[in-house]
Amino acid sequence: MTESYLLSIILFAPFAGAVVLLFISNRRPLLVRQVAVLFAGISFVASFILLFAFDWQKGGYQFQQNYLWSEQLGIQFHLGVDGIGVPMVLASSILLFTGIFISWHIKDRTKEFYAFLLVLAGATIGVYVSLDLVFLYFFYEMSVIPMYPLLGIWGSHTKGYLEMTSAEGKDLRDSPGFIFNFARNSKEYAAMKLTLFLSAGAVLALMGILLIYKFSGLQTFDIPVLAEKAHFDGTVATIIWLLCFFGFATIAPLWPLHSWSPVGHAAAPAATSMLHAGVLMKLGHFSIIRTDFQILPETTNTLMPIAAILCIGSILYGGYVAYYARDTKYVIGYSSSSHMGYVFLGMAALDYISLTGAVLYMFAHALATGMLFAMAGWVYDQTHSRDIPSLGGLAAKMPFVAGAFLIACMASIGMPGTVNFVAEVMIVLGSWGRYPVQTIIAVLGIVLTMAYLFRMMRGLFYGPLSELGHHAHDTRGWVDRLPLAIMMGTSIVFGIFPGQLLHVIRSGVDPILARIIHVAPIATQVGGSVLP
Amino acid sequence: MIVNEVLASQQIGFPILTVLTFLPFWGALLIWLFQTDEDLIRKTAVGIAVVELFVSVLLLWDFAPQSADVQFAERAPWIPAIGIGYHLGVDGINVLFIPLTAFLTVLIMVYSWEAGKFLFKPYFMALLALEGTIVGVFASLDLILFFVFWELMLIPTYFLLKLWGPGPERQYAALKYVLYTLSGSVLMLVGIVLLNLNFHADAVMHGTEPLYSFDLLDLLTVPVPPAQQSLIFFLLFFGFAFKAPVFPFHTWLPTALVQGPFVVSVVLAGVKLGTYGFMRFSLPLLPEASREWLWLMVALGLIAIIYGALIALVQTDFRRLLAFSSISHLGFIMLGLFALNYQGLQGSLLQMINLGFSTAGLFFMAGFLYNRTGSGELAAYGGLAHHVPLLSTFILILGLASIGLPGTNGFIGEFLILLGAFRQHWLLAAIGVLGVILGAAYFLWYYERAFFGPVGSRVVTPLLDLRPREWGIAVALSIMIFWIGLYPAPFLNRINGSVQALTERLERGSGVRPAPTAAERPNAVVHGAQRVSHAP
Amino acid sequence: MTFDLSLTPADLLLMLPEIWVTIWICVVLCVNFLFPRLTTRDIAWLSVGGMGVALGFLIWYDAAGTGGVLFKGMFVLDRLALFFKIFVVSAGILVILSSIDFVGRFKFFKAEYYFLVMMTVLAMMFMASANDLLSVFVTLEFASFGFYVLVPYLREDLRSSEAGLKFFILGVFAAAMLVFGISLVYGETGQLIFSEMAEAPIDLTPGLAVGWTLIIAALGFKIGAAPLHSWIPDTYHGAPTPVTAFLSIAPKGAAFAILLRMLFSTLPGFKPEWVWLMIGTAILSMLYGNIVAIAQRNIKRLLAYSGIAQIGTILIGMAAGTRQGADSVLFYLLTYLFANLGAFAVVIAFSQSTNSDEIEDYSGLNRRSPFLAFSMLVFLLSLAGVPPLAGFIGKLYVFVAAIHEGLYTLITVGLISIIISMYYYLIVVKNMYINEPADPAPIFVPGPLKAVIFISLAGTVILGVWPQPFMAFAVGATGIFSHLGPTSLVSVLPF
Repeated sequence: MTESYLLSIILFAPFAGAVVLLFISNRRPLLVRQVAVLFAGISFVASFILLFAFDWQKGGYQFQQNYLWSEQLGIQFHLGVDGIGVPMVLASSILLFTGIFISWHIKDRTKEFYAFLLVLAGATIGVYVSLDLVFLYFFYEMSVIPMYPLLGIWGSHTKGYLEMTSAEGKDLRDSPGFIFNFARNSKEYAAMKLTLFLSAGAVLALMGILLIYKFSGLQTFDIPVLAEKAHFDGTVATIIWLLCFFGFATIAPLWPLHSWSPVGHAAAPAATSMLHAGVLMKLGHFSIIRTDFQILPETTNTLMPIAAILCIGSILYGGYVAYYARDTKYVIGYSSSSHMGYVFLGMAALDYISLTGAVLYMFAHALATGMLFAMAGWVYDQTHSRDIPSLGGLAAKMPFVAGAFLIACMASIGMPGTVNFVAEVMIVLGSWGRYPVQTIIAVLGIVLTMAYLFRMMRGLFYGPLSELGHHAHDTRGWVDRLPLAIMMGTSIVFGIFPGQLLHVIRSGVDPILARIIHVAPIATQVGGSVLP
Repeated sequence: MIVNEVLASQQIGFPILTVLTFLPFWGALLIWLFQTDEDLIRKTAVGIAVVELFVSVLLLWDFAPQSADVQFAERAPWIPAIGIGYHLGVDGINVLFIPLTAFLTVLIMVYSWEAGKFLFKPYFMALLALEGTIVGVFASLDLILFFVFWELMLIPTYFLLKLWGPGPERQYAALKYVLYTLSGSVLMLVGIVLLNLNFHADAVMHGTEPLYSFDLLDLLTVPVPPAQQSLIFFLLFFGFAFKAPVFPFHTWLPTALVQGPFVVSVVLAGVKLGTYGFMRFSLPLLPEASREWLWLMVALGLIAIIYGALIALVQTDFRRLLAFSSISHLGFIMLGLFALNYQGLQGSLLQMINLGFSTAGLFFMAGFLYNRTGSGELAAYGGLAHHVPLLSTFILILGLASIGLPGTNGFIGEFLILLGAFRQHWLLAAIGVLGVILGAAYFLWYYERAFFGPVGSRVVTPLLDLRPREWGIAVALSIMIFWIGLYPAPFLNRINGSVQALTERLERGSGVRPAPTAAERPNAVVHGAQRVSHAP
Repeated sequence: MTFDLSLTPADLLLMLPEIWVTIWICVVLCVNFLFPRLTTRDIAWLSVGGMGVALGFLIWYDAAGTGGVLFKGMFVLDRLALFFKIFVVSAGILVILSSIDFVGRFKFFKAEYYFLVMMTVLAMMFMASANDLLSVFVTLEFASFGFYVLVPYLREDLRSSEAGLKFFILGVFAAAMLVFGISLVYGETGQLIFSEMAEAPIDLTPGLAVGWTLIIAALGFKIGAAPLHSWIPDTYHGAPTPVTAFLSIAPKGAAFAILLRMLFSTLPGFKPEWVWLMIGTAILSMLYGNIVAIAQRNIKRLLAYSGIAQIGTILIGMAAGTRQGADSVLFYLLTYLFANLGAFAVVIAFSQSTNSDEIEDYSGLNRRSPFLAFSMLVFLLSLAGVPPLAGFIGKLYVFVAAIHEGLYTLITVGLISIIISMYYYLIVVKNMYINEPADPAPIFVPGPLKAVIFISLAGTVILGVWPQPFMAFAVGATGIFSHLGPTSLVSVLPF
């Protein structure tokens, strides 16, 4: 029965690819790419199978594999997905597969690049499929580390672009973080800042995990077991909850812990930004659901308003800075950190619809921001500039990209027809009951999104053609267009027919939320299930 | 309020509304596949527009008059998880808009025979997409579906404005338009969601299915608590008022109409989406709130009438004048709507259609003038009647229609509106009449300066009079104007039924929900709308 | 008390590995001057072979569970002793392998180098079995003696000589502390043998306290824990790199063997007292080591300071003071063995072809030798404790052992030190991968060294992804501490 090994296939295919790549010479870049595509393709296909093979009427954890990994520490290698994991696994493998094509033209040390990329994506998938806290952390930290070489080696300096000046010439620079022995705005700085921030968050979470291990008294890291049996008393529960929440919210990134993210985005190569903004950020929300929501339901019920308050900061600050940023990737980076605020809002509302919407939004945002970064990367490769004011009129040179960029903007804004729209409606629908103010802010945030995205689109693709763009050319051949087509297609198809996806997500959301708010979902599987 | 529904399958045998909605999109797709053969593209576009017009006329023809039923309905579940459905249908309120849109689109196609100078293909694609979205907005009875088309409309409009607008400020105008409309519509989205939540609470209380629904007919069966009504009313109000535009939110309109291409001006000024929204959703869903805030709405309407007229009085640019005149006309429509009585509603509904002919027509004419003189400024005109008699005549006809000369369609509309306003309070009618007089003043004064008297110094003669294509447009418009003006019965009796029902609804108020049974809704479709109770 | 050293052959069997190594050392020496035609390289292989045989003996003993006590308990052979013997012998083998090409730098006594290394290994094998204070002193000094010679082995190099001198002086100082402590303890208790002390009920008189503290301090000096680390940086910096590698692993392991015996089986009663020593040293070592490491520009000094921090982390496990704590210490030493030796092997390979240990010179190593760069990346990340590498599991094991004892402060410091260490390790990575090389000449890695690096790589990765058997090995070794609680507190596993 191969089905039960489906998760292993999805998870280990990228790692296997990375290992194989180690033994291929850099002098044969084409072979390197083919191998990468092959292994990424395996998990790409497999995760689509996963989505449709997942039995949402049964719900719960499926495709489980459970092995004793360390008897002394009570660690199990426990794989399994519930309705929340499935879409994220799908998103990860889509972005990996497309990312490989996006970075097709990388010349320098191709082998290492693809190896690191595969490890990054594989580790990300690992977080989404592991049901053991240690392995959650294991893959989490493992997915952070490859970002360092990816940014450092193949990234690009963000020299003048990062200082954003408003119309009045006011300096709106982001918090400087800490200064190292290399220049700010250099890619090394970005890489180091990112790695250290995320690792710091990770060890916070690790402390939380260890405390869970101790105070649950169960001597196991197994999430289902802990969720079922563990109980924590007041103070301890609060401490653990805060540790896990802020530890994981660092990567989410929740304002004010976000400052690593735009810098990292700006420095990273396109494919890395895609994976980073697309799926790496969602590790935060996902892990919060796995730890806080599942293991500490009562505490979540009391403390989740924190997220509801901070998400305002994410939405407004992110949007505000994105509006004044001049660097394309900086705009997209801030926009995604602002959009992550919606996910936090949806999670904070503790409502079936809104949590479903939040998870769906993670998936949707992965695709939308993936497209945006892909095309920002293309523009950068063509013009060697990310400075919006100095670009323009590229639509004449690259009509396909321009069109795709429009669709990407639409998706990111949550235009009807894309899956983002469904997610936004669900978040608004679910969140109003508890947080009307935040909901209003969120919807106004949509307008803000439109403002800066259209501003960027106009600056890049319309108006007079800048001299930077004279040698630019459009995507050529299927290698360049396939990834965009895949992402657009997925976003639109699921936007029009979200049925299966919604059912799957809902089947994961229901049991988790029922234990938090002690209100059973009114319709176990909403929508026609009760109807004939 | 229970609305009966007649399925398209029962009535005409094929999903006519779906055809009407998606035919333009398919057309756009078709054009996209073509090579850049301008003539072929052009012909295809016009062909599709004409087919659309025929189908919509068929719709109008088969529409059972004097009935409040929703006809040609189509239902399908879309996202049952949160009660979003695919639900199209026409009743008296929206039946006239669809043919109007199709009609205007045909004229636009004809007008822009060689207007889309560059980027020929995307130009026609955008036009067709625009038509499709507008028809979708009018045809959909599911609020989310409505919102979908409402939002999608922004995209073609944005590009038409920014890419083909003649004005130097078109970029700014486009972004301004989009941002204004979007900020309105996201708030409207919240309002829609609140309606759904109210429905949900009710469904949970009575233990009925479905739990969530965005379907207008479902929402109509559930009373909204007055406290919430005002909130929802204003959330929706923002959406519609920004789009309409109602007085304080009107500033995007002149910019867009002046900077944008004429075809967009025609659509924006001719197709009254915002006020349609009020009539379609706000009034029936929130009668108490409408009554409570009547004074505010009427006040806004009156201000718009006077303000628009006064500003128009001092305009020298023809299109700016038209822009402000249409703001003033929208004031009339608001006045009629929130008179909240039969005549008022009937009048403003008819007036929305009328303006679709007269104001839109005037924009066509402005386009003709612009193409000839290369300017919209009064300074460039003067004594044009000597050179372009036909054009001047048609402009006069359309203008008189827009100021409501007896015999033209405008008269009937404004008369009914004023009647309704009078029944509400005589003062309203009085101020309204003032508006009519001002309207006559600004138009005739401008016309006098532009077309009579000595030929202006900057007028470069010879000017070509109407060419056949333009002549056709003008004639078609005039025919409609006089038809409605002289024999409005076929139009009125198509809208009467629904207007009557709406009036009753407004008088009775949303009231307590009478438990609907299948017997009460013979033609009701099972899915979604039917509310079977399930074990708690 | 009188010693009658009547040894039966069966008793000798217990010392067979040591005896074998002794014989083999003599063999190597004789071969060296009997057959002058043999190159030092052959001598090296010869000694590796001998050590391999010894390793075989040890593994056989461990599998057979051979055990016993000699000389009235001065010399004990149990699983713990065997673990550490295996540890030091394999360390010795790896060091010899990695020295083979380095020895070319020595002007004189090339072959004697191996003789000295093997002597030290022998000494540390005895250390692992030392079960009373006298043998502790003797074996400890025996081991140090070897290093006193090895550290300044590069005679022409001033830094090497200086390092030797420093190491010698401070070593002697530590020895003095040790012997003074021993005398105090003996004076208070009249006993020297651990097992007997464990039985005899003692109360903690001031003299005894001072005595034990001095002994622990002396051992702390050996493992180089702050504040007794002062000899480490310069010694590491100056000593020949293979010796540094050897010094950074083997004696620490052996010293931990003695520490474990003393604290865990002899003085469990005094845990409330000595745990504070452990906690204090642990925190000091981790913070001091990591923070000072940030400023280092020389890879050997960097590894020296990071080594101090690593020892601090191990001391967390000591502070736990439970059976699981002991397990975690042993397991951590294993991970440290591979990662650290591997890193030093890379350093050796690099310095052989570039004659430099400066971190700046590692620029663009990835272009010059992808293999070296990748291995270094793996070793450093493992030292930093990044999954899926051995270091992560080791740290996790230590933390889990500590969390059961509620040592939250220690764990917090440990976690913080992970972040700090990540910074300076990543700086090295930055140099290797991101910077461009000054001269792009590829770097040649000689065979034996390659073998060492491969072994270390394998160890680092396997311990990371499949630690179970090695944990079992560690757990098996700590059987004598079974009075300190279970090895694992796992209760509700579904297996």
